[in-house]
Amino acid sequence: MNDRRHLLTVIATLLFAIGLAVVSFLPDVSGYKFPQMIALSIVAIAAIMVLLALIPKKPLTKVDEESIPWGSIWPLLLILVGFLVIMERLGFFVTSFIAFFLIVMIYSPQRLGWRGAIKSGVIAAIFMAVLYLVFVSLLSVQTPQGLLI
Amino acid sequence: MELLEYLPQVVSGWNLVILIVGTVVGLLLGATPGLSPTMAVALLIPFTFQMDATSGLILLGVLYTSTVAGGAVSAILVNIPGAPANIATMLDGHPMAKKGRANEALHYCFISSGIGGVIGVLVLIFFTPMLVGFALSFGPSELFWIAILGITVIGSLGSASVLKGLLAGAVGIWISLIGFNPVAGTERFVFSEHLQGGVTIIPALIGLFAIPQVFQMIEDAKRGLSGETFGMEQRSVLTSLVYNLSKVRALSIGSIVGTVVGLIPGAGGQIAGLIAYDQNKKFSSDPDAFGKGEPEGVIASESANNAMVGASLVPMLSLGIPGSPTAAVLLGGLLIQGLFPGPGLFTQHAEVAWTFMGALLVSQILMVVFGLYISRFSKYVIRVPKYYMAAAVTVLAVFGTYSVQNSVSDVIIMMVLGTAMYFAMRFGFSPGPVVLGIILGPIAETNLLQGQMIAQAMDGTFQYFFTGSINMLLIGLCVLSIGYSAIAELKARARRRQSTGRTVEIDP
Repeated sequence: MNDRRHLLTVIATLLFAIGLAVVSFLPDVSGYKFPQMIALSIVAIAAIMVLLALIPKKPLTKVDEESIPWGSIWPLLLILVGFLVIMERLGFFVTSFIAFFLIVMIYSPQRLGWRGAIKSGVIAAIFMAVLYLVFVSLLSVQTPQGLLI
Repeated sequence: MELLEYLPQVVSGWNLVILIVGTVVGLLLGATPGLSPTMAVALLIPFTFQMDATSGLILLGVLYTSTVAGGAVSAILVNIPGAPANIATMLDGHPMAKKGRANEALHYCFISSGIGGVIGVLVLIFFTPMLVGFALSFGPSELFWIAILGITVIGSLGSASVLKGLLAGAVGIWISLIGFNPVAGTERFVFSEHLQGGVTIIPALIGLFAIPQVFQMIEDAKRGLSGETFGMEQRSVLTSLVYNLSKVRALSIGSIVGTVVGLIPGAGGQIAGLIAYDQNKKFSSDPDAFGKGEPEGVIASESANNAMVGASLVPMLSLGIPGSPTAAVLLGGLLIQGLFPGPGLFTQHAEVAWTFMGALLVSQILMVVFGLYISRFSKYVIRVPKYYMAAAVTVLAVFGTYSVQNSVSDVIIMMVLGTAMYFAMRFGFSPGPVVLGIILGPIAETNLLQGQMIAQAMDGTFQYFFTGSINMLLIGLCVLSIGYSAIAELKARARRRQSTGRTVEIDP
């Protein structure tokens, strides 16, 4: 990650901190004193980070920064959003089965044919069945209910 | 002595079966990412309805012991702590596993848990009457300083820099304040109906650790690093035992910190492992080795976690004040059986009380035996392809989060926090300080506000918070902790400059 990107990162952090401070100071009611103290601390730390980033050749907080691999992660982001949307309509176990199956199919390094897909489906089904038997049947744990299970 | 009188009952017939089954079930539940000890104990309370009081309490006690230790398994193998108590274990346990030393890390985990656990239970058995006074001497001001002391360990939690750690910790505290003001009752930062219940610890813990790990796994899978990414050296239990016992400092710090933190009601037993880890790192001759697979990190945090178990039951059994969230659930189990905590428990129901404490002692030994046995099978866990692991962790994360309060809002919070944490991690922030902030934020605020109210009726806020021997001791520890972190950071920067000729830079 280059210096310019690092500077953008710390400036974004400062803007985020200022945002937290604004929502902490905006309400004119009691009960906000402690959040205000914390928000000010966040702004102060973020400001120090910006200052350090501005000092030439002393990017002391740059270690461990990496770029985001959007190409790999976007299908998972869609699956997670889909999980939340569908879970209450179809039910937890059916949604989980679909999510499990999709993650395996999309992220398996080798291209899975029909046999691979069936194998993944069977493993997903066994995983769901064990989860259902142990936690729902035996321990009576509640799961989100929908049209199915 | 009463304990010896009732010990034969502990290891006879039905009680022994409960101890063995409870240990195995507890280890497995604890090892499941997303299932915390509190939840495991709560889930199994209905099974105690059909049992007599002694057997029911034995089951809950043994579950408490084994789930706390079992939580370290997922922390070491998958980099997802089974419970907040296992965060510190993960810091060095997972790097050890990545170096092919998973078996060794699991050995240290269970051996140290057993040693710490036995010390905690012995404290419970022998020092309960003496320690009740100590537990009661902690009021709002002392608890406030305990929370601040907890916050000072943030620098040790694996962030790229202390500043980023502090910022992440402060954001964690701010997140924990969403919902209702604990004293005034006013609603704060409820931008959506899903935030009305605030952000509780289990959804936050699961989201912040499990979801970024899922992203990491699928990234690895996409890059073709799918199957077993780290090997596993064979290591005999005896070699691990000898090494573990030689680490007297780590074991002592862990056991003492775990016992003291467990004794204090309201301090949140989850931070025992973190404080022990931090203190051990500070006393170490090679603090830079921590976070990179240092066995002492695992030993200190696991001995603290299980020492906390017995100690957290001291105020619960003698005063009815639980020392940890799981102890609070256990208290519910006690009340359901018609038993009321207090000095009367040890006189009117001596058989139940002493058999329970004896069972806790035996359960520590069983936990070590079964834990070491189960650790032999961890090689199968690391062989699971990453894409299957990612799918299973995603499902378990949703399941574990929802089942705490049967709330879809918790699931949404978990996923949003987790995804945001993944992006933050790409910029050098780590989840440990955020979780610590979420744990300590409510403790700090509640006690600050309560302390201010008490102070108004007394000599003023300054007098209340800055006088008294315990307050001064805790303030001193906070100052020392901050000072040490600052010096360590400066030394580390100087070393980096010397080794590279300039500050470390990461190229794109």
